[in-house]
Amino acid sequence: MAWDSIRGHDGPRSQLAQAVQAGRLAHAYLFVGPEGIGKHRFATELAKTVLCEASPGPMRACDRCPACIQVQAHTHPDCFSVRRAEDKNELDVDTMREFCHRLALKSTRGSRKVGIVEEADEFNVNSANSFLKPLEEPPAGSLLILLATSLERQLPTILSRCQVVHFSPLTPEDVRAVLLAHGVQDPQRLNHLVRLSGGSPGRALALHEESFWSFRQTLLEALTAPRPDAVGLAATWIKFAEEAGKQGPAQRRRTVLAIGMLIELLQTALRVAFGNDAEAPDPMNAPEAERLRPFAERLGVDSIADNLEACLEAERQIERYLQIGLVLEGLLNKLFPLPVPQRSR
Amino acid sequence: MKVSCLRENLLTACQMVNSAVAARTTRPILANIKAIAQEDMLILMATDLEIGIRYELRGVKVSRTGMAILPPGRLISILRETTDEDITLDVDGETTRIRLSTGRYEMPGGFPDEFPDLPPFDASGRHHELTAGTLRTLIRRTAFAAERKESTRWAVTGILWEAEGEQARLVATDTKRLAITEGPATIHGEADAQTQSHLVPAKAIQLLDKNLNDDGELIRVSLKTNEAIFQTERALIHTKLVEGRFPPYRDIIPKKHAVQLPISVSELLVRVRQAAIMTDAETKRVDFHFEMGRVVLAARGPETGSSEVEMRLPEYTGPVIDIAFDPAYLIEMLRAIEGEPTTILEMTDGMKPAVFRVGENYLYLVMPLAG
Repeated sequence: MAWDSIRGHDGPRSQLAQAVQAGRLAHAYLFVGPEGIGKHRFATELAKTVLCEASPGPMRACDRCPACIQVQAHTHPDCFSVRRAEDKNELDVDTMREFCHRLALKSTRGSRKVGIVEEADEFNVNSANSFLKPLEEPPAGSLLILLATSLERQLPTILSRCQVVHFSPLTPEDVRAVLLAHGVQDPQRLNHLVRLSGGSPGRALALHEESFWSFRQTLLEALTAPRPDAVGLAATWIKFAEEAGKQGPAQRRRTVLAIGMLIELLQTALRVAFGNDAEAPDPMNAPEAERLRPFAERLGVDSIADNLEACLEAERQIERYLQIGLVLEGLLNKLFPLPVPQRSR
Repeated sequence: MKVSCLRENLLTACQMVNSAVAARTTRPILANIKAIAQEDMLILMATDLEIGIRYELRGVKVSRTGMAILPPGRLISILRETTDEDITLDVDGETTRIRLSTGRYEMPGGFPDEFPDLPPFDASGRHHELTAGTLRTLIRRTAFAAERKESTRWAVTGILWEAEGEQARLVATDTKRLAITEGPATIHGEADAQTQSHLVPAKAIQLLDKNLNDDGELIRVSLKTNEAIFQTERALIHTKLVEGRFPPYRDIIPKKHAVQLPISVSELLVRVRQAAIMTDAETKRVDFHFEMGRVVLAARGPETGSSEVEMRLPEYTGPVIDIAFDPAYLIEMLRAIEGEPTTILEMTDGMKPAVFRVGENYLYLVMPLAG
């Protein structure tokens, strides 16, 4: 059963199973949880369960009937999803109207249909408003699933019309299993990815790419260099982000992932500065910790914590669509300040 | 596949099919048309999963049968930019080649098998037939009245299609006006056990309208629970139906009226347009003052000024009635029945709906503006 291939998320599963069993499946659910933890997979399974034409039992799908196969292949006429256009930062009103129009047509195969809004974080006010009425009273037999990363990013009007289902990050064991299933074999890399993932296999898999690791090396060298070149590093970083292609969202994503690697390096340094590097979660990285020691000792706990703060701030700024170049230059200037000449009194 | 045909015919066929091609789609193959070359005809297909069309182009020379995926935009441009009389499509694997007297084109294709199929017309089930001439009139007189904005009142964005007795009936409303028209039809097959309403999306009606040719051509219509299929001489159009309950339109047609008055269609159209010149986006209102022997139409806007237009009604002997309409609602209807000499106007007072009738078969109800 494909349901069984979903790791974790037992809470949401039993919550929905109870609703299905009681015949009280709501018409709209908001799935909230970090990116890359399998919300979309879960939504697809739920769609299958609802649309399955040979259901072996409540909250189960047969995975063999045409309906299940079509949902899996994204070709089911009554299961449709919406996401923003690749070059757009928002889910715009035209896209949403088209989605509502499809919702307003009768279903093809049976009496039910499932609509999935993949990026409910990205509504703008207009598109959200155009969606309120269908969200409140969708046509009979429809199920709407909205996928979001945080409750704060939802408009109250959307929030009040959905039942919220919380998804938590996966446990390290589950992330490890998912990565193994995706063919990550090198044990050192595996450990490292699990630690970087923060419970999100999607994030770990995005990082499982050679260019990230060579870039990480660049970051490490910059941190340990006696005279770091902030300007040069910013240029390298911007170039690295642009390798994602021309689209802004992809570039931002790549930048944020790279900031995640910088954060991890700074965390190691912080641990060294505290002097408890012996308890590092990944003892194999001891040589790296050793390389970071001079940096850690030079800056001290407080400065490293400030730098971490700056990284988080940069992440937030990028999510708010600030220009990547500006954010990175600001961040790196803060990390590697030019020596200020001592002023004599 | 390899097919030769008249350029003009192929261009018409492509343009016809192109209106069903998906504009925005997550499935790239739907942005294309599928071509199937059979013994003596070329079939072109397009669908956006809501509306689909299958168009048969006859009178073509097929040297090699087969299937192809063609990009409609560029294909239409190629056909439009040349003056060659005949054109040859040569599809080999995934590559389409077009050779002209002045050049040649090569386009990549896709996998024809991935393209979704359209269900065939099922002549054994319940369906009805009407002539293209009748259908064209039915569509012309109702489709304009459906809600055109992207509305959340889904049901009224569609056009209600009914067939019973010897009649086919189309009904459209945007809740401020209502158009009902009937035309002769032949019904085949047993009626379904449960009656249900069939709401056809406006886009499908437009596509159907475009595909009507000679007045005498027979059009077959099959209305199913979730879909409708139209078969014209050359094209098969498949559409999903709109969800929702159409308003119970029979209940709002007034049974009684104080005044029944024949009016010349062409003259009323001219007068309403004359009066409407002085409306603006804010007002959109023409006041009608009916009195013995005449009606005075007046409009004014804060910046545009005011107009007063008189129309003689020698037959009118009834009471004085003041009633106001949105001129666009009258003009659209009067254009749709252009060619008819007169329409019968029924009304009671300035607060109750007014009804325009043409013969037994057409009724247009419009709500007056208040105040």
